[in-house]
Amino acid sequence: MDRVRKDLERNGGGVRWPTFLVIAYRNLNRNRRRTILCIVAVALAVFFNIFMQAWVEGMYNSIEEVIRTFETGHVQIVSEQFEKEKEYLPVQYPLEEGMSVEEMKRRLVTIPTVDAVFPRIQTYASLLESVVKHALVWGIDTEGEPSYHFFNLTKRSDGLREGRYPRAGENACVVGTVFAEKTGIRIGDRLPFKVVSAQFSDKFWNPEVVGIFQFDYRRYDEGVIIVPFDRLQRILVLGEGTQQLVVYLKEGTQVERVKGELKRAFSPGTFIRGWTENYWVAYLRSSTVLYLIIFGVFQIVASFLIINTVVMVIHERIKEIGMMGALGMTRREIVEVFFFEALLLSVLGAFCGVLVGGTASWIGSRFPLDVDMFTGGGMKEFPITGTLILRFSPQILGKGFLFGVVVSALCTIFPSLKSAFIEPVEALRR
Amino acid sequence: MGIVETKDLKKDYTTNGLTVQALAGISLEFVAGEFTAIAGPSGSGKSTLLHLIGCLDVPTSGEIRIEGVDVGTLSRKELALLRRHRIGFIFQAYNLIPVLTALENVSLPLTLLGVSRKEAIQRSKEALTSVGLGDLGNRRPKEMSGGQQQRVAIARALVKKPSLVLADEPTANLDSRTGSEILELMRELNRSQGTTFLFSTHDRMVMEYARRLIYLRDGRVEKEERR
Amino acid sequence: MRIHRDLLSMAFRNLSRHRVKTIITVTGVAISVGLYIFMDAWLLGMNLESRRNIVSYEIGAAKIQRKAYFDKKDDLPMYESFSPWKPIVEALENAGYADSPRMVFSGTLYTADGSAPVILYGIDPAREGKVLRYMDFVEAGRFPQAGKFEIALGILAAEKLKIDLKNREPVGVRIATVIDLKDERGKVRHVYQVIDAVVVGVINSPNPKTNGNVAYIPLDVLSGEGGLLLEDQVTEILVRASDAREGTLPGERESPLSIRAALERAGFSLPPDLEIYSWMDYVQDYIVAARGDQISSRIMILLLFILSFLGIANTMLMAILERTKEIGMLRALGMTDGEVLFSYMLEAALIGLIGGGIGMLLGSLVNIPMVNHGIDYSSMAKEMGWDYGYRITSLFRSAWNPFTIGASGIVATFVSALLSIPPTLRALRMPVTESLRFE
Repeated sequence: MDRVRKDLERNGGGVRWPTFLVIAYRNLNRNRRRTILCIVAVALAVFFNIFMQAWVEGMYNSIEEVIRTFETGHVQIVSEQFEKEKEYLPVQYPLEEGMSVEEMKRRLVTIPTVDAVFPRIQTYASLLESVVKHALVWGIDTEGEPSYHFFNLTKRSDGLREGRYPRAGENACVVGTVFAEKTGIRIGDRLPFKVVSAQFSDKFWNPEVVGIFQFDYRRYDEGVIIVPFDRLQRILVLGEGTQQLVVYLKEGTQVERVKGELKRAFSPGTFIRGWTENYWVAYLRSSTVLYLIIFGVFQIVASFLIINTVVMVIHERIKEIGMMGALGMTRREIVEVFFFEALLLSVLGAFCGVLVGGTASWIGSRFPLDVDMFTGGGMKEFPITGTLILRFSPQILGKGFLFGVVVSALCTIFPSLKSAFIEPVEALRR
Repeated sequence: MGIVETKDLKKDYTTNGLTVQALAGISLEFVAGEFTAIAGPSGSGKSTLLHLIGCLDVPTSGEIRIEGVDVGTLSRKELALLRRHRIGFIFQAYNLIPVLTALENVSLPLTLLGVSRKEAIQRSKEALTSVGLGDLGNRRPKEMSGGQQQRVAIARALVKKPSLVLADEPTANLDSRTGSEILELMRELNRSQGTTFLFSTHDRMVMEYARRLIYLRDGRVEKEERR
Repeated sequence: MRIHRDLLSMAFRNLSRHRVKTIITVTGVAISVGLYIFMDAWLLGMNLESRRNIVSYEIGAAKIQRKAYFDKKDDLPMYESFSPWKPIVEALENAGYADSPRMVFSGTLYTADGSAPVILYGIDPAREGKVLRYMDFVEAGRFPQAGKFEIALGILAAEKLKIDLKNREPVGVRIATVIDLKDERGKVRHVYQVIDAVVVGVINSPNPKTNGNVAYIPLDVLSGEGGLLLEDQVTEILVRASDAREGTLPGERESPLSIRAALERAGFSLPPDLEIYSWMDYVQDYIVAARGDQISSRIMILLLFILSFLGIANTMLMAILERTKEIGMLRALGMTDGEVLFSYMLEAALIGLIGGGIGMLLGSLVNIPMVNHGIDYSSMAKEMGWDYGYRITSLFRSAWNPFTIGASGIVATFVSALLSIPPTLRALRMPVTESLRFE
């Protein structure tokens, strides 16, 4: 009697996982067609997941880079008055009245994570002698900025097609390729236009075109004239001030921390915006929930097939279940056998999905897509480069794989549990 | 003390609304080393009795003791462990796992017991040899005849050296020659290793081999014979 | 036929043999069908509304324009204007069309509070009102009168320039523009011009293109001394059938070919450098955006369908395999191969029908709030500057598409039935005795 009691306390090894694997693998082979159907289903869902993610992340990267490079940097600093009227790009509300750009730069560069500070002016101009009537004038540090970041984000270059960028203070400008095409303007020509100064007076300027750029960013290639900041500053009667400052940090993630320190460097009427507060960045971040739901639906529908399979399999092997119980396998061990089979199917399917999805996104990362195919030349306000590169990354592949396996596994736990409720006697009697 | 004791064992079944009393009060004692057949017409409750003794089912009332332990006090998990350690089963329809080879089928109980792989393979080979299938270890069940499959089942039941072997109509699916070979084998094992064998059967031949014969009718013990 | 009724009841009962599997498969089909119906209705709603809005508020059915202008239309090349336009307009009106001559140019609007770039439409208010309907949507003030230096502004421009006609008096503005004209030698000259006008109305129509940085000014004042000295030039003539009902899309009579034919029948032929273009030629951004959405959403749903149909195939495969013995028995009893095939197709069709039916119900239920209310995308629309292809300002609504709803249910039923054919044929190929022994 004591011997019996002692046996009951020992569990023994139970079924070890290599045995599970062997049994599961061979059982899958019993019915090839069915196994293949399940694997294909899971693979499809995982492929879809990976491909869509590659697409979305490619778009997201492009948008982030465009916004960081052309709109706000990591942090954008303007006066509150400007922020209220920003659709007009007014120059009448300069940043920090009374402080010169040099002073501002000095204050900010001391903050630890700050990498670079650039003054910028954006304003509308009316063109006087061309078929194109309006353009945006972009006054920047034409010596510092083109060497600091890539203006052509697709080619990772400074974006210059012909000629050169203006030197500081020079009476020169550069224009985009589409603009040049539309207006017929060439290097060496003059480009007369009119802007409105900080004192509300009309100012006429006639710089020489010294270069033509191609940023692969429609808005700029079509309608922006880039001029030296200091020259524009003088023309607009801004004194030593500026309309906006863009700050680049060493670590893009430090924005919140730095904002506090930046605020202290300026007086209360200043508006400081981190790049993540841009509408598009925020919108895309919030869409990830939607995507998760969509992927979830697909994965679950794919798992239906495996659920069905498990249910059928348990039904078919009911005598085996009875025998396993007779041999002394606990209910948990029996469930594990069937769950392991379902898991193996999910893993195999997810793996195939990763292969196909990875290949597709790798191809997409090598052969960029022309965004005009999807916009027909419209959507000019959308901050995205003209070519879309799908993002091929091991993280996407890994996440897709795990997502597929986890969702499938969760779905198949319940039918596997069904095998626990079969009484060995009932099973044997059939 | 016997290996198995039953006291006033009763079992009712309800299928589709009909209640059938399979056992109407069985009190028996079996001692170690017995080679006993439980016989009777179909519906007499012999399979039911064997299932109850094997802890595959729970009686409606009455007591069962295995090696002194009242199995009514054990949880489902403990019953499973009891079967794992102490009881071997042989069924009418061999019930081997189709995807495993003969050797793997035989070693499955040992794996459950946590025996090392090397030892399990060794002991399984010995078990197969003792049933005369030494070189068929790598065959799958569907590649073997009925008699061979039943032998594998016997090897599987015995490889863990159980105290008790329960065989439910083991010869029902075999022709008479194979059947008698199987029975010879089991009798030999009973003699050499002292394992207790309990059969349920309506096969004349099996009843001849048994040293003790219990007749059941309508769920009760009708008579007993000893040879 | 009696035997078909028996087969139908057998098929039904066979479904409950594997109830769990059937329910799971049916769910998959229902989800796919439901989603498809929802997506299709939404796209249809957006497209219908966009098209109606384009035709009713933006372009009409067709435009008559110089080919040279059309080739560069995105640049608003006003030097490719044409004249005289009165004969063409008369001929059109005699042939039963409503038309509106226009001079389109861009300029900058200056108020005391700021400036904004605008696109200006020089129009004939009486004629324009017969072709386009945005004049019904004057939110504040009134529409400009012919012969006066008055303009109507899109509501966004008005808001930006802080022009509030509800509470304040009409505001005087200055329009500065550069006129491009071709001289006798064909070279383009630029002339800087200024017009003083009064904003008398603000437009807020369902088509975002009329609400942005646009202004409408009477055509006749542009020709004269105080205007742009354009001497009767127009850049385009909009055309619509005079009896076209509000909110309908252009019909056969309003296609470019029909218009040209109608003019010829009236004895008028267009000058050779003028062409008649369909409204669709002008909305490339809408067409591409719409097409992109159609394709991408259809592909997604197709994937979902494939997954569901894999499920049906699997269920039928296993069901037939399990019942091989039974099929043998039925054949032994005298059932013909065709009858066996039919009974399994029926069973599969039932799964598709039930799943499709539930999907139709689900999709329709979701459509009800979508059609009546829709989803409010106005914040995103605003950020995009209302430039996303579709001509909708805020509420993205669905439209009922009974065809899709019915068709998807039918397709689900048919495809399911078809999926059961291969495994059944395979089972029928087995000799009957072998089937009976199958385990």
